[in-house]
Amino acid sequence: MDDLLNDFLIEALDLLETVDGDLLAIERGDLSKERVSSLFRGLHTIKGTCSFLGLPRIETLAHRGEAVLVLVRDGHLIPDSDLISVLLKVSDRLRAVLVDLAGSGTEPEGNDNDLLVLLDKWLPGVDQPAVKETSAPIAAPQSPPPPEATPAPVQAALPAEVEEKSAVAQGQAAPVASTDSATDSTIRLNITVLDRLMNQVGELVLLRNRFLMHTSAEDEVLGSLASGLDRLTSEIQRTVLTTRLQPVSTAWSRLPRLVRDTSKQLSKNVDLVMEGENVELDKAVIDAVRDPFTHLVRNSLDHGIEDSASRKAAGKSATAQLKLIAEQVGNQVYLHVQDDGRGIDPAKIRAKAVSKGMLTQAEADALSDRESVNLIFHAGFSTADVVTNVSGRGVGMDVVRTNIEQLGGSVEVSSELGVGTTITLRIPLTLAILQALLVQVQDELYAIPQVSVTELVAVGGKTGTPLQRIGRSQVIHVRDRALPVVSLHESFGMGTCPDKGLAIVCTAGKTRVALLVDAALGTQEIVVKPLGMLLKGLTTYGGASLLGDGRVALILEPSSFMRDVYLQLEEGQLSFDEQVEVDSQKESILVVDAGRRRLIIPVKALMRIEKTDAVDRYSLKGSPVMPYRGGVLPLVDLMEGRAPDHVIICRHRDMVFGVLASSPGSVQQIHINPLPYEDQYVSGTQVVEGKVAEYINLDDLADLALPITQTGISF
Amino acid sequence: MAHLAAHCAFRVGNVFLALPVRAVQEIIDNPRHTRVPGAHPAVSGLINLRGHVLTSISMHHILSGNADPSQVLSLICEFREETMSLVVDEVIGVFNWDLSLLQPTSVAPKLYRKFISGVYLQGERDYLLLDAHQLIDHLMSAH
Repeated sequence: MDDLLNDFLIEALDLLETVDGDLLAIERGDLSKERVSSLFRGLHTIKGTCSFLGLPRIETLAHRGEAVLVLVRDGHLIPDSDLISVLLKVSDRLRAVLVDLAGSGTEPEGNDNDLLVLLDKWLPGVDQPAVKETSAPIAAPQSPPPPEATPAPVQAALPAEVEEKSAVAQGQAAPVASTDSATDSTIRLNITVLDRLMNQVGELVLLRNRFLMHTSAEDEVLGSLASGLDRLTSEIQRTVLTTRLQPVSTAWSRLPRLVRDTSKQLSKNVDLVMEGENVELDKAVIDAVRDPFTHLVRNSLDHGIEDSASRKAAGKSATAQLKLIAEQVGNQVYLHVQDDGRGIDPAKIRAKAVSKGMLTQAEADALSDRESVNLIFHAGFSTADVVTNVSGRGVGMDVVRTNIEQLGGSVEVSSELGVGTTITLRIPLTLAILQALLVQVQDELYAIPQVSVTELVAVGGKTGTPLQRIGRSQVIHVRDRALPVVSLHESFGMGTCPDKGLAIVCTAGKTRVALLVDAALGTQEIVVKPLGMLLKGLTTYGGASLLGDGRVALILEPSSFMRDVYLQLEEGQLSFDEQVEVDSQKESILVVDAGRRRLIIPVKALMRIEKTDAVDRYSLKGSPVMPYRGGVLPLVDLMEGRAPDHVIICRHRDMVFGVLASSPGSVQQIHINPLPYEDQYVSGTQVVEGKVAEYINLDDLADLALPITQTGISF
Repeated sequence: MAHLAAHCAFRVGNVFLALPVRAVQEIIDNPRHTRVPGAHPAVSGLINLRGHVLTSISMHHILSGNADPSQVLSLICEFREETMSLVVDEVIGVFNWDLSLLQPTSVAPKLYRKFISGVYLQGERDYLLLDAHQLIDHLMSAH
């Protein structure tokens, strides 16, 4: 039998168990949002998959059931036991058809008009069911609206949950007939069994570590036993790990067919390109991204990619390109779904959010384009005006986000109107065992994944690399490159940054950051234990681990520390990944645009760069000020009436002030050689990058400013 | 006949509370806590319970905003399918209570009402029946 069909059968039968469990729970009075959504997604997933496998009978029935559930989900219909009974009958019928399908390989003849009529009772404005058994599974929408939320299949529950729910369902639902034909050649293992095995291997590794620690070299017999145990443990560990690893192409296997069928239905020409198919991921991760990918690809096909005529009219090639890219970056895997379609119109998204009552007009107006585009991940958000079989019910993107966040990952969308949309899933490589560097900060021990550690640098003291300050940031220079330093003492509220320590240089995505700790205690294989629900939101940690002495150590996620680096701004407008070259003959300066002028600000005076808005400014005794961090910040306005969008916060002689600017600027290293030139607030000029720039006169400005202690600002 | 339900009663500072016995799995004496910087202040840290890493919640912090004293007990409980630890001062005992005699939350100090489902008078003492779901919702929404 077709692998796709096989997969679908296994999944659909599982989902029906969940559906039954959900129905019964709802009948018992559990009308929670989660419960109703889970039920809805169950039928939605079955319907969605059927539509591209060409199983019209199942699709029609599931679709009608889903239509009724939309009313329930949106609060227009309170399910009574009559409705639950009908829906359970629908579930039983679907199951019977699936079992038949599993046996024969084709969808059985027959019709479900009896159930469709029953369901229609709950649907306003529906006459008799217009069931056409032979009709094409999907009606192609006319000129689909822009790319937003798409519904699509999502595994509604993790296997452990499925198991539990199925136990509930068993008493009520018709027992599933044998599906042997679908599962002959493979054994389906509950993922919890693999998890348990993984945990046990983890404990074995810990035990081995402790055993080796206590084995002295003198005892030959014990020594050889120990090395045997060591070897065997490593082998078991490797084997168990490989049983769980699968190439990402496994998660993508359904997509070529999906793209082919769907693009045909929609009369679009699409080339599917896959890159990095061999990047390997844990089985649990693969399973969890499979359905989000289906959503995203469908979404892109339906909303993102234009038809050939529109593409030609826009000067693009008639054939669109849809790219799936997998790449491993540090200890994360980035999965991109990239199309060259029409992009997302942020204005339209804002309007929709307002019309749906998700935001007030004022809230919507305050959103940046980037934030607006990310609204597509909110529950119930769909800008599709026509609900089609492909998409438009607003169940898609929030589900994608939920699934990815459950894995400890994140989802981001970037889109350019007319050029295309890229959705990026960032997923941690949460393999249960990892090599980690143990570091000490005061009395606490932390584990840093070895894969992100590039080197260790002694800092401070007589022999170490000196710790320097650039504004409020601390840096060390490693081979003539400046690296931002984050002191874990400060970040974790464990005191002030020590004068001396060890900098752990970590790669975090494309950038590097050095974490300052007291000492490193060596590397160890550690077992990753997930954090509980109360700590899930903390991006600082990838989990926890148990050390040989039984204490718990947190596993740090180096990428999260970039936010502690003061100069780091949105989208890397000014970030250390450009690696400011250091030359003792030169000085680091920031060049910013302020209206028609270009200003040079010495980096040593720089504290922060913040986004700002004209509405934030006030006048105090005739001087411009703005509220900032609970205090009042004096401002220097050389903008000549133009609107600033950044404020450069400077400190000189313990005085603090902000310089308004129209760009956040860029850091440069230049030989300081200004032509003397006196003007208000300016002490000289110099040509930087071929353009005249003016030195701000820190002494002048400090006179205008307020002492930090008087501003009330808490930095 | 009255329906009796077994409850585990405990003390946090000068507040007496109780949980249904079935929620409480075991009691650990003063486990070692690993602090979690950045977590909700009511999270005392992480503890190791025979190879499982559990989140520990400070009842002191929840009731009074204060840190845990140095000598504490951990009630190991299961809430929402997750095993957690509640840090308390003392376990008073297990009582069978007739829940029809449960008094409404309005008799408890206002401060505590959002975390409890009722008040039971046992002897001279009011025991606040802890509503763990409300508590966890509160901690999750606050952070």
